[in-house]
Amino acid sequence: MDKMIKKYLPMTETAFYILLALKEPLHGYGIILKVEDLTEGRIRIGPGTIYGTLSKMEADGLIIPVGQEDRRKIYLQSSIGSDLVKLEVTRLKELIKNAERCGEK
Amino acid sequence: MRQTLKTFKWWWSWTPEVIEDYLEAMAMQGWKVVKVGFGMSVFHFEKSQPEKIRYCVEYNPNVKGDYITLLGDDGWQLIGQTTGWLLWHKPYEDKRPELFTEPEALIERNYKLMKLLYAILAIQIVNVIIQLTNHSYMDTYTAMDGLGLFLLILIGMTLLFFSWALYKIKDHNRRLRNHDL
Repeated sequence: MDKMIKKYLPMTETAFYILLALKEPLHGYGIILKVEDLTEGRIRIGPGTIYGTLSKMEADGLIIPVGQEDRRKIYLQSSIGSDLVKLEVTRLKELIKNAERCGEK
Repeated sequence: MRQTLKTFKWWWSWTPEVIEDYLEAMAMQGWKVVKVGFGMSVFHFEKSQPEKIRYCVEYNPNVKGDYITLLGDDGWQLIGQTTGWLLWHKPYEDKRPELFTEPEALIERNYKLMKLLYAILAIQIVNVIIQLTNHSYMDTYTAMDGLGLFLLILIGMTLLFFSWALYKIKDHNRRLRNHDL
């Protein structure tokens, strides 16, 4: 786990949203659409980037394949993945809290 | 009768945007690339309606079926592949789409290319050593007959070229990492 924390935290926006989207089972293109929807069109992750990130996250045990639709692998967060998201959310909350303490609204 | 065109355009693996922008400009004039060849530097076009199309080249020598499916879901179609290079395209209207939105994948692809270049470089160095030792039993000056000297210069030049290419790819990776493109 320590190794994964070192490797993935702080997370890139892309990694964070991919992992977050996988709270429900989705295939690659499903993730692109969900992240686009969540960010109201601000982020549209490239399919090449999605593919590479999913392969890496699967190899590291952050996500697990739970099914297949034609040639589309469906993934879900693993418990390691879920823990990493929680740690990242805690870190982001601290950023906001400190920004507010310093007078940012 | 369809209007066709064949062009040759040279580019380097660290400047893929040269070819991507070129093909996009051609599509805006109605020339759409239908076939690629010769290390992704020969392009066959067919004339049709002008269209906004984003082209992406990538180095991916063992492309898998699920990769093609995922890109297809997002509207990217493969035009052709040659010597490990793939050419993708996707028509668009407003926002220019990207195959890669993070530099990581491109950095990794560059590492793959670098490995290949290092391997070729190693073979070249062995070549030079063989060339030199072949003549070692003679006086250095007389040993360098015309052909031997020519070969040595040729190998030396490719050695320099590969070193230069490695430097350029490394520099490309540095710029990718610093978001300095």
